[in-house]
Amino acid sequence: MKFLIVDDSRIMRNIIKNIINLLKIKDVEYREASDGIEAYKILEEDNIDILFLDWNMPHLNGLDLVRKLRSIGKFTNLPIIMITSEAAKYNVIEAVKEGVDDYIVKPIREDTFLKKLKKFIDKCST
Amino acid sequence: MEIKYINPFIEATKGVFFNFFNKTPDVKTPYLIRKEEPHKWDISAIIGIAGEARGAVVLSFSKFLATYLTSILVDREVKEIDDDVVDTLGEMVNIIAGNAKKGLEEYMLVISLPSIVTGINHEIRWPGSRNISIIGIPFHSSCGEFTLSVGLENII
Amino acid sequence: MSAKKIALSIITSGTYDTLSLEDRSRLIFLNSLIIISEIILLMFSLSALREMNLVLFIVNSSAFTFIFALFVFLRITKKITPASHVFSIIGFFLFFYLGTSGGSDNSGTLWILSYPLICIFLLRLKTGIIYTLTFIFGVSLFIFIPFLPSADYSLSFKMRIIGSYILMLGFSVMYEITREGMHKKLEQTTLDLLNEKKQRDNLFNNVREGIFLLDKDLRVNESYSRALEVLLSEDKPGNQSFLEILKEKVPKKLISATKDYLNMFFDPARDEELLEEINPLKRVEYNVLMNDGSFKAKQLEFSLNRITDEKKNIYILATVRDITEAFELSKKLKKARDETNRQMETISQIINVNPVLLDDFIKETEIELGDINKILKADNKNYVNTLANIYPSIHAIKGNAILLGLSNLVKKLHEIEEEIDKLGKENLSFNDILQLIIKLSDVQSEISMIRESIQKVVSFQVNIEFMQRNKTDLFINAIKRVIEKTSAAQGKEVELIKDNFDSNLISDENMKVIRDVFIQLARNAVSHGIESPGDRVVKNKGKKGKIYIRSDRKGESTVFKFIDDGKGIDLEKIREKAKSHKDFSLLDLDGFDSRKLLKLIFHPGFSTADSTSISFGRGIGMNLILSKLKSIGGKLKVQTAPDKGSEFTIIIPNKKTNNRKG
Repeated sequence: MKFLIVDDSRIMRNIIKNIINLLKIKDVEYREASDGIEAYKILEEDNIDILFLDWNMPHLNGLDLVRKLRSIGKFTNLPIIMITSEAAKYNVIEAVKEGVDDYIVKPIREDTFLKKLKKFIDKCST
Repeated sequence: MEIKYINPFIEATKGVFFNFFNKTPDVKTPYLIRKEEPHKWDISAIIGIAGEARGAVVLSFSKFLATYLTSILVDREVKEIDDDVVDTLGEMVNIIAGNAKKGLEEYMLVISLPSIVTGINHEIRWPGSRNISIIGIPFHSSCGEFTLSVGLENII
Repeated sequence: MSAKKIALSIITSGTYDTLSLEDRSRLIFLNSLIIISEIILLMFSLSALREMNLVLFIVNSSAFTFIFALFVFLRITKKITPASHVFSIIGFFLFFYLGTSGGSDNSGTLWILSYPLICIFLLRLKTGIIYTLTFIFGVSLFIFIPFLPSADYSLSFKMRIIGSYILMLGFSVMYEITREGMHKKLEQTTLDLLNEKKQRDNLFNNVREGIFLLDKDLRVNESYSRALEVLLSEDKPGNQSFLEILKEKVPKKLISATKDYLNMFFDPARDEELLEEINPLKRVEYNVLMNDGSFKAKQLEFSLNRITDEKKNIYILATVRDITEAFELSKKLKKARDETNRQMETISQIINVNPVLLDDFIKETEIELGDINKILKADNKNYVNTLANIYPSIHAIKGNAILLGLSNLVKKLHEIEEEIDKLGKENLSFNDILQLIIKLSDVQSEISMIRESIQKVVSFQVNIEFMQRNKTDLFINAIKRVIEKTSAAQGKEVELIKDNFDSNLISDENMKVIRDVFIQLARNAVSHGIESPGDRVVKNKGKKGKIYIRSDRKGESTVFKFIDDGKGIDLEKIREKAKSHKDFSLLDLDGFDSRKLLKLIFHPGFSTADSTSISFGRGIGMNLILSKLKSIGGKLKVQTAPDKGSEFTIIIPNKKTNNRKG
């Protein structure tokens, strides 16, 4: 299983990886990117199962990347989990409307994050 | 200034601190901040607030605590206030502001992205009128103390 | 008017469909009968006329006239039952004549068979049967009794007439019974349906929540709970676009978010759990424009659910509740704040009256606030203690504010005092303290606002250099207050004599310390020095105790004196107290003279007061007074004599740099 974690903060990427590791998934591989453009390149060249995406990033921000991905055929069904400190409802609705499958507000609460993540992993493996 | 604007920040600060470092800091007796008085902090993150209340919320750390917290997160020893420290605190305060936003959603408030100021006895520019009242809420954790300062005035 | 409408008008007597189904069918039947019988009677009359059968002609034409009159009567009065009776009676006589006379070719006997049908339908079962039975009885009498006038029928014909009539009557009765049964059943069903509707309406009208359905176009469904109209302040929300209703009442940004959000419900793939999580209407400020142009704000809470009908159509079931109370409360608070802000404007007037006093006031207040902050920062987790310690400072600020007439500030400080009094007795939470500090910070900001206002008074800067500074008021007032309060609490009478005192001799930076020292001395003098009025009378001293304060500038220093005429300091009591104190155990206390004993009262932890109760407004010990005086380079001397009183002398060096008044 391949996860792509996109966040401009290295610390945040590490935090996310550490939480995912708690699930003890077999054969898990992480790819990382610090902005939207880098993330897009990785998505093109590699087969990513789930995308973890920060909102506020330089160059191409998370939401713009979602818009771009959803307009391209092979990415329409890619599970995207938005991880953001933007907890206001307008932002969340916008993200969901643009095609984000779920969202998580920073700081990440382990239990909710894992609960949501499990749902996606179950979907991927079936 | 009303308590309802302040509590979301206190809660968010406690929550975020716990999430990052697995420790809930103690909140001590609040006091008045007097602008003329020098302070002991080395790094502050300022979140501007506009709307039905105007002013700012500031988180201030000593160099010791700021570098210590960053060390935990970046997994190397940090001794001076460098880019990593600024990044870490920026990210942390960003999350605090984002979380507090949730508790403040019912009010007509606009909350800015945090900006970071460093330096010994650095000056903090409080938005709003010159006579804005400011209070300090000290937090104590096992690794040191920091302060949440709130200066808000109601716009009617 | 079309032909159809004319026909309808004739046949319903102009009532169209205003009558009930039952009455309407009777009316139509009656009118139809009238029209048919009129046509038949007209034909019969003409044929009777042609055959020169005068009697038949008269009978037919008079029946024709009667029925025409009945038609007019019915059209005007619309009274069905009397008309039915009249028609049945006319029929009675007409058919009676036809039945008994036989008409042409005995065909009259055929006509009478239609009588039960007409009667029973027009007059209902009971009355109809009475009419028809009376009719056949009458007819039988006429045809069987020889001397009564009737046609000459054979016996079997007579029997057939009666037999067919009874048969017809039987069928009519049976038909009517079935019809009435069906009708009753129908009525019951209708009634049940009506009741059901009523119950549903009741439910919809009585729930306090607004309940409604939204369709794919985000329109509010026709049936909704009545409360919705009030909650949304919308007369008829049914069939309206929900977003249109929200317009101008919630921020635009929220409307577009809501639109996006609601549309997500119609995508069955969307997770409902996620939808619930991101509901933008979970809590919304709903602003209704009132007739006077103002906004009335309420807080509404919408909960939304997706429902799917059997045809797989998706709807949103929405429930709204009003959660305004808390909001209204905070609005009221805001209004009160508005009021105090307006009061602020009046302060500039006060500033014009006496800027020097205000300047002093601000300086003192700043010092007090600094003291308060020191106590707060010391972070004593014991909130009650913290409050007890900041209370005297708040009280001192208030006292000065009263003197200057800063009513707005006094009110705020008074509120804080009251709150401290209240809180002191209860378990204190962090929020209680936070609330108090917020109030205190309001005071701070108000004071800096006053300071700013002073600077705006143009004349101030010029005046301050030339005006005789007069601090006596504030200084004396503070001491007076302490004396009054303490003496009242102890049932003593004390007079302050200040003729030789000039507080202008106190420099700005020393003001706070000297005032604190005097306040503490005054408190001690009243509590421990001055005797009760009764004791004083016994000692021939006069009921009222006296406290003198004096000031004198002597070259390099200024001397202040504080004198009371009480019983003096009890040296033996000091000796006893010191003996029980571990710090003095090594001293030869019995050998101490009065000078040495007096020195002991400046030792930390030494107090001659009997109780050590913590009360708000308690003073600082003598050792603190001494250390405060030392901090400004001052000295303190004490003299005392039994029953004569005590004299405290405070010597403060004059600073050359601060000698602008010299």
